[in-house]
Amino acid sequence: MRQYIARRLLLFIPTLLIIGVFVFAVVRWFPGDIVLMLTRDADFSAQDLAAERARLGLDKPILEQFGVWTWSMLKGDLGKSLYSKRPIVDEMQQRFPVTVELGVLAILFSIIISVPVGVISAVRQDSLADYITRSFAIGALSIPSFWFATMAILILSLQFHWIPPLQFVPFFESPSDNLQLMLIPGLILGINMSGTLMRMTRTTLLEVLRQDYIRTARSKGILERVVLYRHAMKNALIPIVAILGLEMAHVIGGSVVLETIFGLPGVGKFIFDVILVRDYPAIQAANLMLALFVLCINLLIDITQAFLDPRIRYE
Amino acid sequence: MRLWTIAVLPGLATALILLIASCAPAAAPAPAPAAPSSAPPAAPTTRPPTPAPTVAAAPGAPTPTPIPTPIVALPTPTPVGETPKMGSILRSMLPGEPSSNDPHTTIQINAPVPFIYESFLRQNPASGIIEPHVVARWENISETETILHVRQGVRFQNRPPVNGRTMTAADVVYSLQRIGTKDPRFLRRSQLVSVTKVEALDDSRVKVTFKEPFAPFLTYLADRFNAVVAKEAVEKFGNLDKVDDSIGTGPFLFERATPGVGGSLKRNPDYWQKGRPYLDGVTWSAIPDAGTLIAAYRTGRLDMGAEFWGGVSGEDKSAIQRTNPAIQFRPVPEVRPNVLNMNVTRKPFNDVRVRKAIHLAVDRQEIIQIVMGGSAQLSGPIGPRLFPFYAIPEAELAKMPGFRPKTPQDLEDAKKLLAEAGYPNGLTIEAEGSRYIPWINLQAMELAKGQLKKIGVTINITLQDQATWFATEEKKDFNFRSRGFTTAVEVDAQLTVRHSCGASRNFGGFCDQEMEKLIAEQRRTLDPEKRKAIVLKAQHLLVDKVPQIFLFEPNRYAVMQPWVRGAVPGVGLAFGYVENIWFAK
Repeated sequence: MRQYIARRLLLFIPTLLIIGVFVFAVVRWFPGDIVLMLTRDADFSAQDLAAERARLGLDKPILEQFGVWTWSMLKGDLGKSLYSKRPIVDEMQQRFPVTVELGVLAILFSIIISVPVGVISAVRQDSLADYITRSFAIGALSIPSFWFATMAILILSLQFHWIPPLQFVPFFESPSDNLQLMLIPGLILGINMSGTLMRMTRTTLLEVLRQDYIRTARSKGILERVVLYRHAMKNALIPIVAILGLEMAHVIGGSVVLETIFGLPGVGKFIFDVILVRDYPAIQAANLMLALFVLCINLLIDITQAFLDPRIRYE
Repeated sequence: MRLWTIAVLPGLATALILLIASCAPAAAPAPAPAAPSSAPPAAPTTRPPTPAPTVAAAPGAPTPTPIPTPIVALPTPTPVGETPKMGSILRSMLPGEPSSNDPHTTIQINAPVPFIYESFLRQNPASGIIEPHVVARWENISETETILHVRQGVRFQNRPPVNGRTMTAADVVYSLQRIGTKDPRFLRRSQLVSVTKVEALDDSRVKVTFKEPFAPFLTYLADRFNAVVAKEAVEKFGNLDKVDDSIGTGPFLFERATPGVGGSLKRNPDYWQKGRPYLDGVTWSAIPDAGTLIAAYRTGRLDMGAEFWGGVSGEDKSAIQRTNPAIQFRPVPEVRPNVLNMNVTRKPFNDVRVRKAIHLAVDRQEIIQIVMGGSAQLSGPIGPRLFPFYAIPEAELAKMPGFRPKTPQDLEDAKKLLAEAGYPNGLTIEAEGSRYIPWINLQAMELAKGQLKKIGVTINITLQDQATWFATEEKKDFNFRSRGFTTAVEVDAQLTVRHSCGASRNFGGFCDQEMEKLIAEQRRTLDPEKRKAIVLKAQHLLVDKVPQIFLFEPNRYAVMQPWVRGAVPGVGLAFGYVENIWFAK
């Protein structure tokens, strides 16, 4: 197992390099740059714009720019945002916990919703309960989270004369203020994610319930509850864990709209904003950090699966 | 555990949320109808020009200026018997983050600069008059020389390295020179292009010398970003971007700014106006979503918003009024007249007949009603509410071909012009649009597309993201696009940056020698009546040459909860004189 982890960690290097080259090239391929976005509607001449580009090093040959950036990355220096002028590492440090908290809440809610619903749907296959829960899953999948979020704000403000706080407060600073703001987007994202999870739970559980060892267990007269939880669920969990890990990565990119509506200073909104203003160092560094995060999550899933399923061996 | 018990779990989760929500602070108190609902709406008034005084009045006394400026808003009424109260925190919002808080280098009007720093003079949002501020009075000793008398007793905020020292003439000289720095980062340096020398005569007097008479000077001194900064702060910090770098003479100290979250300001206890500010502080939250903003006003989570600090459109104003009739609104014209911009260096717009045909066929009234919900006014090259003294009046515009309600004759004339230009069967134009850029009105372009169909002009709109939009504009790689133009609140800026040959925002490439002469002439004409005549001539020339399809001047509404007093939302100063705001609660 150790060898496997070491090998996987080594594979991170070429993966990150490829992602780095790709992001570096793509952001420069699109028209526009940070200078135009910073000056926007100001009284700027073409000479002024050229001087500003030179000051920021954007006039240098692209290979030189790539070399400078790669070297600073290797030194562990993510650079400074050209827009906010703050170190990118500070921006990420501040925003990452927000998105992770949102993701954890969303996953918790999605598990709370989808696993019981999926189990009911599988156990009561083709019953009214199954049809209702499947309809719920399709609804959760097809209704976009921004609609839920907009409705939540509208109903809360009109009916209860209350909306979540406008400013994010870290959980350890004020758990009550933090949860007042985070629970609703967490629940909305959780509902959105629960559709996939519910369907996956139902499918895998149905498959497991048809296995020979389940029939054997039932024929021995074991209680249905024990069959379900001790024999079926444990095996059905394996693909669900894999999906959960992927969903965590999905949360970061997919939470932009929720972060916008609820004013959450998360990574998704940050990346969206820096792409809009063509803040090259911030786009590159943030994407690289994100890629690293996803790689780590994937590794963690693989390791977890090995523990859950003794048949899986990484040699 | 039975199956039904696990089905209860989602319900438990919902109950948990409701429990947390119930721990939330109580909803804002029902708004007390303190402000009379009969509060007079902002009424644009054309102020007759005042004769240019050679010596302004004594310090502290509001002094008329020779430069007529707009009248846009009236102060929040204070009911009889109420006296200003100290205390309270004003809660406002920002849609995004400013890239800099340095008054001389930031472009974002949403930076908290006007709370921290003070401009040399300021423009009263209620009367439009240029008033003394940290410059207490001024003398025009000749047509090209002005003496600025620095107010005595003004202190910088008590933060190192400035430590609350007294502001002197040297600070005014340093700040004027810094604004004029020949570096692209100093965004308003072109405003001082006519200034040749700035010198301190002693601790309280500054002499400014111009290469020629310079009519807009006092208005530029009242630009909120043309503020006094301390030399030692700049020397220590470089750019004044961060919270601790921000040391002005203003009523509030910069306390905190968290990216993506918001920020706060606290009362400056050493503020030079004794007994002010009334407020203990100001906070702002980052609210990028318009729906959340409306909900925040409805639930009383925000006290006030104006301009980009939470100002709302006419449509949003109606939505809020339906549920919260006691909330106060003030319409404020945006310094952003909307046009359809044409690349006049390209076919078919290099032919003035094509431009005139489009000018005749576009129905402004329909655009104002449908796109702006009526919350805009007809505008020629210069906005009639921003510049009531200089602009072609709305009533006159409404009778002019192109601007007036469409007649069959207008459309016939337009078709005839197209035929003369070689397009008897109409033509197809590739246009560009973009969403999410505040000064691009895509809906106006879409409506115009339908209107132009009537004269045989087909418009195909391609959408671009904002960075692509700016890039194609910079390279003049565009044909036809909707646009608004933000400038300083000075008629000179309106004419120069949009219509002067080679000017930075003359994206369409219009260049006319007669126009150049008129622009230069109005700038050096100090007599308001004579200057007005030149500016009117320039506007009629622009209407005739049609470098742009002039559409309308949009309004944005300042929003104030019923307990807000003393606020005068206006152009340039979104919250008015912030030290005068107080809460009746």
